[in-house]
Amino acid sequence: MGLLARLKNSLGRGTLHRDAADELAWHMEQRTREYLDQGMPMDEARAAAKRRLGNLTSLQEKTAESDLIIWLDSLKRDLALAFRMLFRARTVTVVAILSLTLGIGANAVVFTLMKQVVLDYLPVPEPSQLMILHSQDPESGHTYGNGMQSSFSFPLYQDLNAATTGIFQGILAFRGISVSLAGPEATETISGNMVSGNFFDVLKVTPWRGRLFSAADDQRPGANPVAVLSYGLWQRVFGGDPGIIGRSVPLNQHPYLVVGVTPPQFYGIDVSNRSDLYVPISMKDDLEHDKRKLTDRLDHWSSLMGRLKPGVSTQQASAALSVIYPPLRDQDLGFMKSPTESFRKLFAQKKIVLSSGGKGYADLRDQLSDPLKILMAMVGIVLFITVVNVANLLVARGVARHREMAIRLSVGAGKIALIRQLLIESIVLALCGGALGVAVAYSCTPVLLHLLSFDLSSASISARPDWHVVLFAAAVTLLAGVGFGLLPAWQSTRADVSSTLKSEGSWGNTGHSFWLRRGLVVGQVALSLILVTAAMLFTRSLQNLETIDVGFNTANLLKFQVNPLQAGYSQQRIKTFAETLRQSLATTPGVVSASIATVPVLQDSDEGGNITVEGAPTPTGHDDNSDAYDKNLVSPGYFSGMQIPVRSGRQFGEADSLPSSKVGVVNETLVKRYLFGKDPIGIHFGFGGGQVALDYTIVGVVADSKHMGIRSKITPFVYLPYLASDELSSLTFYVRVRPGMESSAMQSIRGLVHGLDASIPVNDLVPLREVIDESLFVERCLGFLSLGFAVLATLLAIVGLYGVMSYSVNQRQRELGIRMAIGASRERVITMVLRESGVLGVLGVVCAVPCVLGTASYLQSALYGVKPNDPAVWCSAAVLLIAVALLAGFAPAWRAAHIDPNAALRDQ
Amino acid sequence: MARLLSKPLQGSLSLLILKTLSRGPLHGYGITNHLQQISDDVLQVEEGSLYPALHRMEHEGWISSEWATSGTNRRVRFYKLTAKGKRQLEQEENDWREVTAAVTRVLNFV
Repeated sequence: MGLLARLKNSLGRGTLHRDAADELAWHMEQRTREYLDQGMPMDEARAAAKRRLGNLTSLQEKTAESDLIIWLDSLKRDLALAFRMLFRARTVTVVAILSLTLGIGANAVVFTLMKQVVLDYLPVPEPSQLMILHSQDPESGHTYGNGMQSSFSFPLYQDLNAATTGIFQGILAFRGISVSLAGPEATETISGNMVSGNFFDVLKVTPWRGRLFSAADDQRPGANPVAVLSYGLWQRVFGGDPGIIGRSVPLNQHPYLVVGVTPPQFYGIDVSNRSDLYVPISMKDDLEHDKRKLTDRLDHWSSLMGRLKPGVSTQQASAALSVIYPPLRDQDLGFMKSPTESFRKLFAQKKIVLSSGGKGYADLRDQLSDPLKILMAMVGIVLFITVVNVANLLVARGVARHREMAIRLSVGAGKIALIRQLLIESIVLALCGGALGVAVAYSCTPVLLHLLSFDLSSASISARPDWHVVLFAAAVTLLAGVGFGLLPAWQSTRADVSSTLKSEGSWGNTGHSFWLRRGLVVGQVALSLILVTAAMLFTRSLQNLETIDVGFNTANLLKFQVNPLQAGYSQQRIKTFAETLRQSLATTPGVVSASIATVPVLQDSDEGGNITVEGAPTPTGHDDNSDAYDKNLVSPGYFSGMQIPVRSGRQFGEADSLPSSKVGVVNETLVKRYLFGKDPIGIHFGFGGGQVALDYTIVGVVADSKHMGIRSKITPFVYLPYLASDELSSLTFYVRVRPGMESSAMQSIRGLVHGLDASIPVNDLVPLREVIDESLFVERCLGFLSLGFAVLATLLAIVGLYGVMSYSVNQRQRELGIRMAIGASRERVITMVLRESGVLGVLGVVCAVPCVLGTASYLQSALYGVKPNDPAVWCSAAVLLIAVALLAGFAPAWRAAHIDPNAALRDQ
Repeated sequence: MARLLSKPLQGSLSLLILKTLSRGPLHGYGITNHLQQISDDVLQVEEGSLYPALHRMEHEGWISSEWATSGTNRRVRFYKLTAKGKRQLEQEENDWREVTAAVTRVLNFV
């Protein structure tokens, strides 16, 4: 019979059975007739025939068997047997499944994040053709960062797009933008993208409704007030109304025609920052009233991504760009004010570098990929420990089943069949654990992310594992099942049949597996030590970050943003609005102080450039950054409101509001770097390098404080009065409230802003502490998860150690009984057992040292304020684990010390 | 998978079946009767092991089977020797003669 016929048999089992039945029935009939012919009565003849043939049903069964059926049937039998055996050893099964659930669940949780942040490609056709374009320093003019991306001027983008048609199907340009959208119910701030007309063509995104942009949409500046909505925004704000296409919506108070909706799975090209709205990039000056202009060659603000033509490799594209780019680049030189010779030289070496863009932009990825890899390694170790633990349990049970195995071997069961049986048992275990693990991951990931205060709404990351994760878990599960099943299976079937059966009572051949178990436990302790150390390092690092002094008081401080410019306000009206709001907030019950800054603090924003300070040496060349500074424009009372100490001079007052009053307050770092002990008050400075007018005067010095984020270094910093500026747009308010008044103050804030102008939305009204907490997401993730994993690993190690020690004490009952009978004290027995357990712990610690030395350096990037080889951390982790080992040995030791010598001696 | 017969007996059963079928196609019932008759009732084939043996031999490719309809309108399965089965028969017959001759020599030696 061929394989096909066999398969047919196995599928069409009914036919096969019928054939066999027919054949046997005919046989019966013939035999019965024969007996009848010999003169037997009918019923006797039938009975005799039946006797001679044997059990008809079982015969049918046997007759119908063919190889595949035998295999399938015995698999079914093995499965049933496996379930029975697992059910019989309930405690072992429950412990094993629970630890597997945790091990596999942890893996699924981390992989869910890992997959979306690090592994997933953009949901567009052929993402691997997409390339991100990076430009290198130096740059002249104004650069406006786009997160970690490179910025290009729009004219340069147009030139590049036109000149590279030989290598790219097209290059797209975009920049993130936030606009206020007056929806049917409320005005809210939407984060979206300004995009080149070919954006959707290059990405090959097709419309869900209406149409997307085409090259015709960005031809003339300001000529195409059209918008494309994301599916999510369309559903959320407009209730999925198809009639929205062709209607006009107010964006920053300007009417924009909605032309289409993007498909549900398309979230933009930045995984960490979902885009809900698209407008043509040519509308920039209409929507953003800032200095960066669409047509200025020296304003660099757009990010570029190209799609390679089929068959063009990255190397070919880079080579082509190295020819195409220089003439375009050198046009810019003509627009610069007197570039120095050294700058020209550096500028002439500028290149465009390509990197793979198939996964889109993701600052989150850069930020999270190292921590996620660390977590992935940790959950891998946890799983390994779980597997070792379960293997240990099964080896222990294998010892108990030694007799069963020996008997089965002696009655002719094949070794392979036995190993298969045991493997099936462990795979069944693993599958139960795996299924539960995925369930745990499914229900826990959102909770976990919530606990770690990660804001999912702004990132297009789903907290639910998808089928990839399930596949991953299934693979892990099977590997684990085979991993922890193979060893005990092999171990059990090595049974020496005769000796095992002969040695009634005691277990033959167990010494070997006992050493195996000890080895496994030592491994568990070693791996646990690695996790415990990592957890300690991360917790320490998190503590360092949480208690970091940011230079101002973050307690009871609320922050929110408003952007009156989006409501069409003039500069003067913005100032009036802001000052009215600030003063009425300051007199609101429960509010201690209110102040304003143009650049939000601790939110990864900065604004700055080069500074020239009177009397300080001006560094030359652009490779030297020491003349860089950051700045912020602040309101009167900012320093007292934030509680930044004023070291000398004064803070800003109402009198500094004239554009002619060019005064600045600087931080101590700037004084230290440029003034070398001179009295800073009255010193002049100017913005820019080279021969700039030193038209600003220092009127005060304040203490250093963190600006971009809590991890950032303190840079030279200049504060200017915001009332003297005529480039105001978004303003961040900082409101300090009395303890416990936060929620009522939040209500008052919304009421006040609404009362002043209902068309200005209050954005991101939260306690500043929450902003800080969120910026510590990665560290908290590492800290909490690693702590959890370490605890889990240690518990598993305790279970393993306890099992081994209990077994050892049982084995040595006779010996211990003799010792006690000849006068060993209980303390002595306890010490003996504890020593054994301690030795296992110490061995584990010793084994961990080389692993640890090898891995420590990988942790460096994820740590703050603590070295990965910190001896205190190492020692305490080692001591902890040895203590844990002793603890695990204590119960067996106690039992050993209370053995009744008589009973022990009689027993064996 | 416990075997119905120990190995040597099963080997001889297939030899007997092959030899019987070398005379022409026959059904299972006919095979048992033939063996019993020829051996003067000494060899009573355990019918329970006959059919599994037939199916195993079919699986080995030594015999093939065909369905026919009997006079009483029953479906009857006929087995017949294949070319491979003929070679197998030759081989098994030789083996058997060798072994029995050897056993006989041992028995006669004393």
